[in-house]
Amino acid sequence: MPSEPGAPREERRLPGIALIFSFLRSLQNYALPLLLLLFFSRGDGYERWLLIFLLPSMAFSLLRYFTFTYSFGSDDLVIRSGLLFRQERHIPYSRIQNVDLRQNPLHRLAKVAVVRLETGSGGAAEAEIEVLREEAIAELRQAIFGRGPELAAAESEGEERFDLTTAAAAPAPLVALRPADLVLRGLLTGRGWLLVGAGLGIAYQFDLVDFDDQLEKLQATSILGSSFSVPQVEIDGLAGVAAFVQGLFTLQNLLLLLLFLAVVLVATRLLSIVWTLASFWGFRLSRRGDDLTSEQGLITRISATLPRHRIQALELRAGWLDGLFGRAAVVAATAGRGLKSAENGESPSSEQADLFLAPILRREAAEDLMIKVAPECFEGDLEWHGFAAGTFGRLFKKSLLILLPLAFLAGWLLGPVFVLPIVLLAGYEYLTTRRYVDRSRWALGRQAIFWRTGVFGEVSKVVPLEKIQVVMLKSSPFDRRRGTATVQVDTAATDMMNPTLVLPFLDAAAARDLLSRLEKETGRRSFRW
Amino acid sequence: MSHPEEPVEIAPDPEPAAHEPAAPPPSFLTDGGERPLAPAWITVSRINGLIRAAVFTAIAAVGLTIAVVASDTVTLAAGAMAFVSLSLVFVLPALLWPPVAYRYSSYRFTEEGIQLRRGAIWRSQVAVSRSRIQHTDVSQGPIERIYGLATLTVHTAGNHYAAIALPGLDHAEALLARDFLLAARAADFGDAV
Repeated sequence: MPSEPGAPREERRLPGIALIFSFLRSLQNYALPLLLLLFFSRGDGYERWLLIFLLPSMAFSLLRYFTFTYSFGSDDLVIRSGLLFRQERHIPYSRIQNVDLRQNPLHRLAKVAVVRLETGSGGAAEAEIEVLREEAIAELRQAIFGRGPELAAAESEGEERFDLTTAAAAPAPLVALRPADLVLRGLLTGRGWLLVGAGLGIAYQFDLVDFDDQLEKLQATSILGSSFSVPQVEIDGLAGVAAFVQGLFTLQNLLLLLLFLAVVLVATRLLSIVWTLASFWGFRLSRRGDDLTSEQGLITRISATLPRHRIQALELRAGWLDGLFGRAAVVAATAGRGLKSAENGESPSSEQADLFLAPILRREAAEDLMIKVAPECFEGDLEWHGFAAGTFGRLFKKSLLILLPLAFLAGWLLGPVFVLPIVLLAGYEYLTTRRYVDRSRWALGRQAIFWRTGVFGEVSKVVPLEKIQVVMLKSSPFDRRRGTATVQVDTAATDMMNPTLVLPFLDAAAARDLLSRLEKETGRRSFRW
Repeated sequence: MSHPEEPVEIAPDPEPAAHEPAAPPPSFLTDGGERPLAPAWITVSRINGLIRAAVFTAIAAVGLTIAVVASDTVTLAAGAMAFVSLSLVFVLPALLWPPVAYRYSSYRFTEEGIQLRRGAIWRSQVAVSRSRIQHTDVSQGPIERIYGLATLTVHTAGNHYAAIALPGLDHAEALLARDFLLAARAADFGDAV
């Protein structure tokens, strides 16, 4: 809907300081080439002329600064930019899903923040505004979120000012994490592997370390009296392979391996702790009216504002270590940001896209938080259902179908000793399948559908019925033989790879019933973004 | 808003005065019955399959010709045999599969929205509520146009199943279905969001 033609829109510009940050940002993009230039210049001075390549991006920053304006329409935010190719972008307030603020230390000094607006289109942010001052951000938030009826109530609770650094302004936060919590999270989630990998990659790429040399030194240093020994067996035929493998299993080798693993483990966990402290420092989640606001970060502070009713699904997530320590994280999925978790409860590989309501909490507190965030979903008693009868047998038989021939082959070709690891593997399969089947269950509440699974960790999902877009029932030939079916539920939560909720191995009749009930329940609720 | 909890019959003409005096929606939209696709869909799907098969066969022919010409071991007879068997592999499924797929495909306009079934081996049943439909497309490919068929695509705000296609509708019926879905939605739920 267009705004009244008579109402003049006041165009707003970025503050002058935005220009400086814009310059800095373009410098940042060239930081690595610049550093290399400094390192490798031989003092002839001609390399300095390469700095000319910075000019276009500087000019672009200038141009962008002087052409960038935004204004508040009656229903949409209007952003204009560009000199030759002019762009006028209208973003309806009602479609803005998240407002994220970012502050690095310089931003904090200047009391400004980078503003990112996300709508439901997924991928990149719809608009990124290079630094606004506090007052301007307050005005922007007022324009975007100040329209809902829920907000009127919130405002009467007391005026709240935007301030990322001194977050004490908000009333009692829902979640406030201490550094100790973050250290624990760092210990429990294996973020470190990624950093070690990246570090090694960079070191290798730039020849910072002579790997061959290091390897030789490592072999020369005799930590345990001598180095890793490789059996001097000629590998011809399967008997040779068996002898070689058996030769590897010396006490000395095992000790060395353990030592190596211990060192790697300590190093990765330490890195993981540092990483977690930096990214989640001072994590707080507070609620005002219908909005949830999270703040986090040591060096770059990020504040995300999310209206409660735009949550498409909630997830409680715990890896196996979290489970051991009785801890869990709570993540919200919106139309702009999905859930990146693996279904089996392992820690996600990328946390970038996750909208954490809490990165770590006690398991009970995590569940409480979900109830506080979406109380309507937890109305009424829940009747939990497990998988269809016989699912355990079906899954375990499938693993045996692979493992038995493998055990036979190993025993026949390599020797009876090699059956043992496969027997152990089968035992492990038995245990995990048992736990998976015993612990997975679903329930249909009055306002939401629930799913809980996990072998050693846990993944619990809550999807409000109001947010369901499509319901699908699937059955493979195997399903039909066993009288089971899979029900899938899709929402607007961003995830191209998977539907939001997948309930496998349901009894076929129960699945059909669930499909028709979900269809009825979603049909009588209108969808609100 | 009506009272969706009760099984309200969407009668052919509930309130003629409220809307334009439009014709009542045809019974296939309101009786909630399971409907098969238009039988011509089998032919359309066969023709489309044969076109695909022809492309694959042509590629195979080029490959085999090169093999026969370039290699001494591949004789003309062997090449011809390979060509015939390969083209059978491409052509036979294109001819035989559509009737099977047809038997397992159906759709149903329910009180809440639309339900589709498809898949002979991996079967699926999708339900989309009218209130979740963002927009609909009615599209016709060249072969569909010859046989007067159309594909109705229902778009939702979902991600994984953002677009759900219902092929093999009679074109006129597809247009009626589209109008029905959108009109009923507007009447029940007001504008968009």
